[in-house]
Amino acid sequence: MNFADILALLQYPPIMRGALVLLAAGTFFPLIGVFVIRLNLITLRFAVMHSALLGAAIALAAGLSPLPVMIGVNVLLILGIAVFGKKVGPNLGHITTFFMVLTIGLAFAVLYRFNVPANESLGLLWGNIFALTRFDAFVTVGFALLIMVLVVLLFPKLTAVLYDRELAFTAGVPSGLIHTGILFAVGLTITLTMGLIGALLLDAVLILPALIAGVTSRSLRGLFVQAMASGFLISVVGFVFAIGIDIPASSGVTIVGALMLGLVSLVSLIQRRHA
Amino acid sequence: MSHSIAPIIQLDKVAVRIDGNQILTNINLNIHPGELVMISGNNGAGKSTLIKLILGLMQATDGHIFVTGLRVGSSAWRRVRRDIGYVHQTAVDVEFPITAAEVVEIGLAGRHASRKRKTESVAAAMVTTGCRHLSSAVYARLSGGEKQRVSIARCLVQNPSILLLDEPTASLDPKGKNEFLAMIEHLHTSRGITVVLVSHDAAQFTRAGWRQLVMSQGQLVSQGQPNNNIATDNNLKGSNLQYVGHLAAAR
Repeated sequence: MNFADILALLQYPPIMRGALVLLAAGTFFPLIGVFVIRLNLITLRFAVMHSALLGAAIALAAGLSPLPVMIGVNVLLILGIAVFGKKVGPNLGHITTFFMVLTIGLAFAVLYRFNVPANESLGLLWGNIFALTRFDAFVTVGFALLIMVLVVLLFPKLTAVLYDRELAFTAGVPSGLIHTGILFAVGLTITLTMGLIGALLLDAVLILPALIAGVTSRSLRGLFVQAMASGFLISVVGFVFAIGIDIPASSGVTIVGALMLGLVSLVSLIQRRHA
Repeated sequence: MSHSIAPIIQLDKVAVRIDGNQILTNINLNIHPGELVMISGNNGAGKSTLIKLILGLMQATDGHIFVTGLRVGSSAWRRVRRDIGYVHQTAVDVEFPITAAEVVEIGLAGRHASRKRKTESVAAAMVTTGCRHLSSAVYARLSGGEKQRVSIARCLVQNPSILLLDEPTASLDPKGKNEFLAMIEHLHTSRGITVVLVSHDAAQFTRAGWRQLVMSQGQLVSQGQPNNNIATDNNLKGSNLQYVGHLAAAR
């Protein structure tokens, strides 16, 4: 498939919509990925995925629209982690693991007790960028832009918390509030990413660009800018690659992201050895 | 030494218990504006807890803490808490990409100011502490002494009336310690900043002009005044308990 064929494919609204959503998510969601990596919220990522499954199971059992219920359950999850996290100290690992295990247990209990087909529930977590409605696309792009605006407006406070919560507090930053806000943003982003564009793309647009930027950047501003640039590049190259060899877009983007991280890490390692 | 002016930091019967363990017991302490105070004690003596209470990072189980006359934790105090500069010894992740200038700028994170104004404040503070040339250097790759200069610059952009320094010299060699303490003393003299420095290193007590406090097992066991008879005791190289013994003998 050549470039003209790819352009021809983009004439189809679902393909064009999927490409735009992928570009928006790929460019702006890495901003959230920076917080996931730097604040060591990987466990939270899994807890959010499990509670999203719980939300999907509850929604299917009750005959409700899944996405709002998934978001609602995740809001409760983040509130629980924020409230109980204050009592157990700054390390959220224990409390997040508790909720991660509890929610997956509850999810399977709901699936069993209410005869919800597990495949249907799990299927909600494997979104497809080419199956997005106009509303889905609007929500994803709008949320991606909102993330960018919030990061720009709150940049000094966010980076202070990212660097050191205690020092941020002593500099007059409401670090507890900002930290809870970050948890909510991470939870919402993961839920939306999974529900709309799929769990496989989650790592590619959220985590991999932030990891690449962590290797290549020397400053905080560089970290955020390079995470966005890497995410954009991964999305474009991955999309073209996927269409070019006829594999799912999510697979193509993830493979390109992983290869890019491997390449950047290798170059960095060689540079350090020769330094 | 008698003071007619109100203390800038006041702890009144302060106690802290965590999970049934008594961390601090009945701490009564007044620190007056412009004082240089050094708090010594072994690990676990409660020195860092005391600093965190003053900063509002922890809450006392009993007693009251006032900073500039405002009760720590009150809404009035929240508006002025950034007037305290704080340096701790938490190690920064070596992979964390942040430049020295960005670290200094964190001191301004709670203030509304234009980009230009912030850049000027950061540059001025880094000139004062002699680390302007390190602006674009990666903070994690600086030496211990350079990091502390950057940390003090971060405090200075807050235009603090109080500096709280928690083990700031722990990673420095003797020459670096002397240079750092000389810089702090210069800032104290030139700007009238009240300085409270916590250290487990009794050797630092050889510096004159510092009011010396000793903590042990969560209590203030000695409150000395700037006193060269004690401060110049060159034999003082052992534990802080030994130092308490010296104080008792001096009395």
